[in-house]
This record gives sequence, C-alpha cells and structure tokens, in this order.
Amino acid sequence: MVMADKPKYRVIGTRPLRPDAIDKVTGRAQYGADTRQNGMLRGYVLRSPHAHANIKSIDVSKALAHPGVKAVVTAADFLAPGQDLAQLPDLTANVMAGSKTLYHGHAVAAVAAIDDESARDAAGLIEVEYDVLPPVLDVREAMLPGAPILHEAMRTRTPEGPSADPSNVVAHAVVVFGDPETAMGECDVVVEGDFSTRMVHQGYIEPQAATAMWNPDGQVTIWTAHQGSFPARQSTATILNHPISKIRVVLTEIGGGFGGKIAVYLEPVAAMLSKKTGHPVKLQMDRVDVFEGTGPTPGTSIRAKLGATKDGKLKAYMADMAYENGAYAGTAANYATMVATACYDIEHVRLDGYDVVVNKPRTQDYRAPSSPAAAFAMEQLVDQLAEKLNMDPEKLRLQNSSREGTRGSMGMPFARIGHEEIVQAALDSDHYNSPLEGPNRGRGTASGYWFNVGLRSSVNVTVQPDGTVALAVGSTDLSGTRTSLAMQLAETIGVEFDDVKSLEVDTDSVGYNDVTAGSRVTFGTGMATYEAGKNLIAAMKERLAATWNVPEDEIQFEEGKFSSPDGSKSGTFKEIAQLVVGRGPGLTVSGSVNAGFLQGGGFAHHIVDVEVDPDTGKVQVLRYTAVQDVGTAVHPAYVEGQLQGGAVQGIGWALNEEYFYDDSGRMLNSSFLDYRMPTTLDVPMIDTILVEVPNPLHPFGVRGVGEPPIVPPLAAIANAVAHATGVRQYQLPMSPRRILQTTGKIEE
Amino acid sequence: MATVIVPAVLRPLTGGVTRVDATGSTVHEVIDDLVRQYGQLKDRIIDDNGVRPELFIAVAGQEIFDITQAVPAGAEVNILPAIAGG
Repeated sequence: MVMADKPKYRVIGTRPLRPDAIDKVTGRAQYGADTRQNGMLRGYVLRSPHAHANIKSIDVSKALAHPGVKAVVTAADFLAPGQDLAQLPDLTANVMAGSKTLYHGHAVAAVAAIDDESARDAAGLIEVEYDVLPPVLDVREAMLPGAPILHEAMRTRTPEGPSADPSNVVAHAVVVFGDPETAMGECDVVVEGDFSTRMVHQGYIEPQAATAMWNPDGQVTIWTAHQGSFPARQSTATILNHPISKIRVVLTEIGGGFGGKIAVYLEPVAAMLSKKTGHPVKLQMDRVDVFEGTGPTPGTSIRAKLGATKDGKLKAYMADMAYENGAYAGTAANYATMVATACYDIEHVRLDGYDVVVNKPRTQDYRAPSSPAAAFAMEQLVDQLAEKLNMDPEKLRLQNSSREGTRGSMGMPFARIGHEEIVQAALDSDHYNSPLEGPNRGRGTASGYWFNVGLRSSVNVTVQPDGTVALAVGSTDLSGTRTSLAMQLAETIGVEFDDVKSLEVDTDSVGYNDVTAGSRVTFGTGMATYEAGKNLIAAMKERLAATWNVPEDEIQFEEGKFSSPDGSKSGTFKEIAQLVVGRGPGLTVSGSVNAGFLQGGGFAHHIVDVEVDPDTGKVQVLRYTAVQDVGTAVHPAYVEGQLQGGAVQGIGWALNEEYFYDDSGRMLNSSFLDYRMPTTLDVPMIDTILVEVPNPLHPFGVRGVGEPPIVPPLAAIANAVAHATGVRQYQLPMSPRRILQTTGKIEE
Repeated sequence: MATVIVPAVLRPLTGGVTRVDATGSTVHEVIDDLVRQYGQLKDRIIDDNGVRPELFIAVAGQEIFDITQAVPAGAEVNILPAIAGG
C-alpha cells in the first residue's frame, strides 16, 4: 500500500533471492563458533552461583596445575596501573567480576586449555570464597529504603542533585509538558493502571562466541559474531587498555542479535587468555550462559493515568515508570520517557522515569528498547478510554494521532510520519472488518513507536574488470542488509542486482561503522552506499572524459547509461566499466556519512484475535495482522519478515516468557525447555500490511523497520485478552496460571 | 535569543530547569551562554571536538552536525541523548 507519490524504481521494491541463502541453508556459513585457527585453545568461563556476594578470594592454583591448562584469568588481569578490584569500571566488571558478583551467572574467572573438557574440568578446580549478601530482585523493592545496596558509591541523579545516601536508583528523570496535574483534573474521563512486565531475553538462536589471537607484536585479531565490529573493537580496547589501532575485528555470520549482541562479553577475555598463552583462544557460550550471563531486557513497573475530554480528545498523561537496569547503571527508563507518548498529540504530560539496579544480568536492548513496556501501559489505557467513551479504539487513536508538526515525545516536532496512515490502514483492513465470532474470543489493537537512527557508516565499492561491482560493508548483516544495500547500489549506478556482490569486511578494511542497531543499516549504511554510488559515477565520468575526449561535466548519466553531449557515444555502466576499468587501472571508491540520530521515526500498529480457554487459561492467537509505515520497502519480503518476527517475539513476551528466580536470586528456567518461547505451533500466519510513506531524510525514502514491530504486541494481546475475558491484564506474562488467577479460577 | 530545551539526563545540572533562554548567533555561542548560566554543564554538551558523542543537538527540529551553524532568533535548540536501539 503506497500512501504517497513514490518514484518508480528498477531494483528497489523487487524481491531478489538472498545471496547468503545457500551457505546458510547448507550449513556452510561460518558463525562465531565455527572459527578455527592453528594451535587454537578452548576457553571456559566460570560464573558466580550467587546473585550478590563479595569475592573474598580466588585461588587458581589447582586449575593451573591441571595438565591440559595453559592459563587462567581473573579480574586482576584487567586492572589498570594503580587500580584495585573495587575500582573496575562497569564495562570491565560486567565482563569479569571485581570485588563483587552482582548476579547469578556473573563471570569470575576463565580458563584456556587444550580442549573443552580440560577447560571445564579446570574451572571446577578454581576455589572462590564468597561472602554471600542478600539480593534484591524486584524493581520497586530495590527502590525502597533499606533495600540491599548493589553499589555503595551510587547516588541517585535527580533534578535537585544527587541523593545523600547510597541508592539502587541510578537516576530519576522528569519530563513535563504543559500542566498535567491541572489538566488531568479537568478531564471528563480518566483511566489508570499499575502495569508490570518481566525481564525477558532476546532469544537469538546463536549463543555468543569469540576467538582471539594476540600476536607477540601486540597485534590482536578477534573473530566474533557481534552487532558491531567497530564498537566491539572500541570496548575491547578500553577493557584491555590496548591501542585500538592494534585490534582488528573480523565479523563472522551472526545468528540473531536484536540488541543482545551490542555489548562485549567474551572478546576481551579471549584476548587476555591469548595474550597469556600465545595461542589463539576460542570462547563460546551455551544456552545457560546466554540466559544467565548476557543482557536481557528490563522488567518494569509502570503506574500510569490517562485523561480525555468526553468527545475523545486525549488531554493529559502521567506515568511513573521504573525500569530494571540489571547489575549496572543504564538508561532504560530515560528511553521510556522519550517514547511513551510518541503516538499521540497530548498537550499535558508528566513522566517520571526511574532507572534501578537489581541483582540480575546487566540489561541490554531488545529491538525498540523500553518502548514495548511503555506501550503496554499507554495502549491499554487508550483501549479502556475507548470503552468508557463508547468509541472505536482505532477512531480514538486516529483522532489523537501524532502527525507532521506534532510535538514529539522528545520535545521536537515530527517530520513526515505515518501513524495516521497505518491506523487508517488497520481500520480499512480485511482483518479489522471481519467479525470475530464465538465464545471466549477477543480482538485487540495497539500502536507502537521507535525513533530509528542513522549514525555513521562507510562502504567501499570496487569495479571489477567485467563491469560488475563489489560492495564492501562494515556493518553487521543481522537481517539481510547485504542484500538491501546491494539493491540500493544497483539502483544508484543503474546495474542489475546480480551485478553487485556484497560482502562484510573487517575493521581494517573499511571506514568506521556504528553498531547495527536502531534499524539503521538499510537507512544509514544505505546512505553511505548511495554516496559511494554517486562517487563511482563521478569517477567513471572522469575516466570517460579522457577516453571520449569530451568535457567531464558534459557527460550525462541517466537510467544507467553514460552518453556524450551530442549523443554520438554511449554505453551502459557495465560497458563503460569494461572500457575504463577493464582496460585501465583498478577503481575503488568509498562512501561515508554521518546520518545523524534523527531518522524520522517509525510507527507500527497491530491487530490480534485471541481465544482464551476458560478452564486452562491458555491464550491461543487466532489471527494477527501487523501494519507498519515502512517508508520505502527496499526488499518487501525482508520487510515482511521483520514485521512477522517482531510480532512473534512480542507474542512470546506477552504470553509466556519471563526470567524466573528463586528467592536467592538464582534463575530457575535458563534453558529453552523451561523458558517458554513460541514455536510454529503457537502462532498463526502473521499477515502484514506495508504502508509506504517515503522518508524525506533518505534518498530512496527508506525507514528502519526492525524496531517498531516489537512494540505493539504486548498491549494488543492484552487488549484482546481483556475483551475475551472481561478482565484487564496488568501483568506479564499472561501465562495460563496468570489468566486463571485474574479470572478467579485459582488463587493469586 | 534562543530557547534551549535541556534533556532529562542533564536537568540534575540545571536544578531541574527545562527551558533556558540563551543568547548567541551560533550553536556554539548559545551553548556557551547556557554554560555561563549553569556552570555544571561545562564540557557536558560540547568539548574541543564538537558535540559530545552521547548527545546530539537539533535546531528548529533539524539535527546539526556543525556547532558553528547559525541559530535563528527565537529558535528552539534541543539537546538530546544519543540512543540507537536493538
């Protein structure tokens, strides 16, 4: 569905087969754990069995005496000169605990040995003496006076200055627009709720793996499946206190990330083990390590209130939002204050965001970080308000939608955005207009938002003697971006998709690239690719001018064809490339951009039908439609896949997934047997409606599409369950037990 | 005169003040005047190399990449935390 005039493209909008498909389906693709180097050792990370403990001592002597062991590292190996273990910066301490372990699964030591068995056995010989402390696991309990304190030096940053006493509250952010207190009092209808969501994991299929080789000359090479080779290099250099120019990061194929592979965990440890042994060292996690030792998304507690006039004008919104940061300070709640009201034009807003440390793994992003929980509250309140006003919730959303010029949640007016268009598309959809019949069934809808960003990207383009081109990319390909970038280059220089070969290269082989996150690669690296394409055309014209003996600036390039001013000479890109490169010196050009932080924003809107079994509490998703403003769909099949994947992950988050802890802070469900992710048996076909409102900030109108579809599902499903059961759901997951509790079938 | 919108993360350094009137014809000058009024913001927004990497600045809704860029009279200058996503 195209909502605005869209240029006709030759390549963009088509659905070519992905060039990495054969390697991936035949098992030839090389992922992180597939790295093999001559003389390579295997590593193993010993992790804390306690959620909160002082480390009194670590004795590695018995491990070092193991016949297969080559080296052991602890946090002491990462100390800067003059630093003690209590002073390790968070970045390092999360990789290897210093004087304290702060979550069950926190790394405390690592071993390099001749094989996996030796490394694992030797790790069992390391003697760690712990002074076990009481943990705090709940975000609201962690905020209370008297709660166990994770960091004695932490003081809450507040608008009035730092707190006097140690606190688990990292920061209290306050955002106010208008006069929310007064406006709320003037509203004809007010709804409110106390919402909570649980910590969940991204659930990427490939556990983290990294291999490092530290040469005697100080040159370090790291092979890793990471969301950003350049940020991984920076973090590793910082942790190792080693020059960044002496570290080369080589990306392997990556089996998913969703934000969970932005931080480094194994890379610096493998490098330190390699430094101590003189051998390459490979470290890889198993699923338990991934659950317990990497970065899930925060659990939250949100107390929110929404007020409107009797004719349905949203007037005031107030929310107190507490987000778990896990063991170290983060900014999740601050993010939430920047997205919570983005979908709607609400004049009076007060948002209080509390970032809180708890004895759980340091949280990381998960697609649109912080936004799904914020939408879980806001979108249920919108639904409740529609009920009270006896309005169609879609029409209420449409009436109050943000649009171009609306002050966004960051305080600035939106550029051209498509929230109105997607809600209208939902209203017009077959799904929304099909009756939902039968008992215990309900339909829910919800909207969601993420900023999307551009950031910095670089690519190289090399012309081959036969006139095809090689596109060297430094951005991790998480979701098929080598294809979407090749398509943009083909469009720019007027060749076929098959004439562009796209490949990932290491940090020494291309200019800087920021992390693959924030739905930025097809947008930002796409802009760098477009820039490189333009530079290539200019370089070709320069050479052609000498060959054709005509002024360079009079050579035309239109629709993939070069022509002389009088039209007597012409040729396609491939023909001219064969002429000026095939018979001349090589030609490589670059494209580099800083595409900035403002990408224009992405909006999603979902419709879901569910049936709730009143006896078992099981929620079955019957039908699901994901609608999204995608700017320009470069490869529509990939875009549809992003929407479908976000919806499925959201279904799992809504219905079943949660980190489940005992009172000591030990995670009890750290395997896919017990951590219940959806399978193909749990979800219907996810229908998609692509609404194309071209983004004016991109030459082809591209918007990022990966973040927004994770935002609406939690609230959409909660609204559907509420309509099916008559009972509003304030807490995730809406597991069978929870449904039976809230519907009064079993006790809380 | 421009109006600087202080982000929540920096408000602890302005005593909670959200909007600050600041004089200057360029972004650099406006930020200098903001820092003159709230000394604790010194080096927290721009440093010798420009805008600090954890922030970005927009003038009248448009992101700026050069702190010598002109600021129209009456414009809003937004200082925003740099975030990406998953």
